[in-house]
Amino acid sequence: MGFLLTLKSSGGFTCVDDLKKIRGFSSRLYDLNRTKLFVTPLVPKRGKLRQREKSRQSSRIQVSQITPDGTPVPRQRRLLPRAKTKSNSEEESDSSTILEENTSIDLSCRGTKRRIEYGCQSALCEKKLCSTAKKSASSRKEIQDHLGRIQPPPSAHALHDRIPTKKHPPPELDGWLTVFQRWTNAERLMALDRLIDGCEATQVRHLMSVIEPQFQRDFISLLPKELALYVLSFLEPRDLSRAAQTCRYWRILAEDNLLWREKCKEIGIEDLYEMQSRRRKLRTGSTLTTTRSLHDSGSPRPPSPSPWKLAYLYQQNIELNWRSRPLPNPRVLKGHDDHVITCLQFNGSRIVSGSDDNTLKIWSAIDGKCLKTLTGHTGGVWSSQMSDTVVVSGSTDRTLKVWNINTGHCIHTLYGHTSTVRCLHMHGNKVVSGSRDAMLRVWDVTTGECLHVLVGHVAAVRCVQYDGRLVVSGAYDFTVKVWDPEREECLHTLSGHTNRVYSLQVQINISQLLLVFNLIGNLSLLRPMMEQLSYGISKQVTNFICQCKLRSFTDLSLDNSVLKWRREFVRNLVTLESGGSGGVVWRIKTSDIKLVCAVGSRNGTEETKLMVLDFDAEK
Amino acid sequence: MSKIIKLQTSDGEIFDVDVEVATCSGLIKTMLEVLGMDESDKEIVSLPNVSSAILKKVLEWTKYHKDNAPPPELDEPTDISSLEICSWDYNFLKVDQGTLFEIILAANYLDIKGLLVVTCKTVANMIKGKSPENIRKTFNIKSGFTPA
Repeated sequence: MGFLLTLKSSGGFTCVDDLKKIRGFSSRLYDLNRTKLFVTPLVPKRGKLRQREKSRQSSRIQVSQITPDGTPVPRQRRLLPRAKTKSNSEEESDSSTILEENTSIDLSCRGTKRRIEYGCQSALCEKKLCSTAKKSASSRKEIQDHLGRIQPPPSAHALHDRIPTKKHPPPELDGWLTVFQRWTNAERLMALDRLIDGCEATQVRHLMSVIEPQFQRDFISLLPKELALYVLSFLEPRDLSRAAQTCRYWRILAEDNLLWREKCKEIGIEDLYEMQSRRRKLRTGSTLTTTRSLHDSGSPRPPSPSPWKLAYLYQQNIELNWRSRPLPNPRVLKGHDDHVITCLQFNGSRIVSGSDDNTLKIWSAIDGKCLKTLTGHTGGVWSSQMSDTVVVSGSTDRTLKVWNINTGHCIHTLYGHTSTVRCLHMHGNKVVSGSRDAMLRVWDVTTGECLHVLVGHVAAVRCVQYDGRLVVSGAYDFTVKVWDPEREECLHTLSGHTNRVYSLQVQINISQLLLVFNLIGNLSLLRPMMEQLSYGISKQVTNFICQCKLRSFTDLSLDNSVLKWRREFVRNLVTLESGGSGGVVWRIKTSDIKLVCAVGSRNGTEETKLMVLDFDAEK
Repeated sequence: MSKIIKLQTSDGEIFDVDVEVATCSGLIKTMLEVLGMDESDKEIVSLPNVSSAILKKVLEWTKYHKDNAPPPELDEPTDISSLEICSWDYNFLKVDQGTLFEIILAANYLDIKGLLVVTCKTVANMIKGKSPENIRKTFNIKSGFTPA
């Protein structure tokens, strides 16, 4: 005796207990004795299926008592594919599909138990139609899932519509292929041409998707390593980073240290050790945490990043900080009361400011503390230089003083000039001074001795540069002179300017260009051979610092802002609120990661101070 | 009358090649220098690592660059990365990846520096500007970072 639970509204019969597992098939009979469930497919319409499932709850459930004899066999036969109705099951002579208790779906066919073909195939068919499913073979679970949702094709067409699998190819396929393989190359080509002609667009597309990967090569993985690296060497760092994300082997190669050394060279990083010592914060910082978190999550450690790559990224970060990221809050160093800061020196860690209050101050660029105040000059300090050991200052008291940078003691006072010492430039243990007495003097810093006097300018000397070999000076007589200090001889007089020369920079290493500019605002690029190029620069610019790499220029302006130039305007780095009413930026100095500027005003609107902006990538 | 050298490819085909063209290959040049020109007249130089289809392409390239624009001297490594692929090379290398791959191997084996540069640069250009996903698609790279 068995009980059949049927849902009247479903248009078929479903065993309620197994409804979830075998949706899509209706049970005809649940045989308690044999623990077999007889199922037949439902009407193959998905829309209806959902509807039915919805209405399932509200359906009126009929419980009827039936016997195995009561199985409506004829109906099952009609619904099942003819091929599959040849059941050899000994227990059931009718053609029911048998669903065993463990819900594995088997179909008895020609004496061998086969998984229900069309259920499985419907699933495949569905996938192809949707073309979203993965290519992986459908698992049993998937089949069951699909069985639940997809209706099998009508029995009459089941055989023809059957989608072949590797296990069950179309019966004539082997023969067809054997014929093909017997042909010559020309014959095969012809056959393929004809075959493709006869294909539908979707089939041709399928063909393409099969063929295309055959012509693809993973160059980086397949080429010998040195060639793969050679290919990668043509890539920009940005592309290298993306290439590193494609797969494991690409990452290993894209992390190649020598590869990144070349990239570093391209942006001017030559000394890895210097970069590493500057970057030690970086190494103890974020990089380590990323590595650790990866390690913790159980995945194998990624190849340790190339030190050159890290150096490169670090440099790029600094560059971004200068160019575009939000500006750092400036550290403010107050001193010199309301006096003017006339000169500024900065070596990366220490700042020296000189003022017309007759003093100089040595500051720490790290914590902003005033380390020493250098007192002794009897007039305003208007020029200064610093090395690792000494500070040299020039004053309106007509002297130069050499100071010990650590103790702040005055080592030498250099007498000789007969007017204000307005400019200084130090190279090694020699310092060249320019004065309002129109003369330049070369001094030995260690002994305090005056070595040479350069006479030739006819007005105050305003700016000077010394590279250890040549002295270049700019003066209020509108000329720039190039000197040989040893012979105390003027080698060239550059007389392109039509006004006082206020500032100059000599770039010895870039084909000896002189950058000179004067009050009128002409920034001139002069070669020693009298060639002159003029740039129109606004009047306010009175000082000019050329960073030695020529990658970035930093200018000082006399209005209210420091501008960072790089061929074109990039952005304001410092903007004073008092800009319109008297506040000015007097002097600036930079390192790779820091900007120091002296600001103030002559009318009290802006307090005299130093501002330090830190653009370091890791803080 | 320029001399002819016989090159035999991996699939047995024999090519008669102008010595001047053939010596674009550092391998053949060295070979001839070591063996001496006279003896090589009758001998066949076997190139077991190059198929005839690829040698055809390689010879096409060397012939063109011998007759037309010879590739610039490439002593400085910095020159290489700034080198632009000329339009003839660009069209010449419009081949499937498999062929390009073989040409790179052949250029490396035969030691033809100019060809190696343009081919490797062509591959680099295929990577340039692409997202990791697109790079994978371009080169049919299967696995991303699944544990090896």
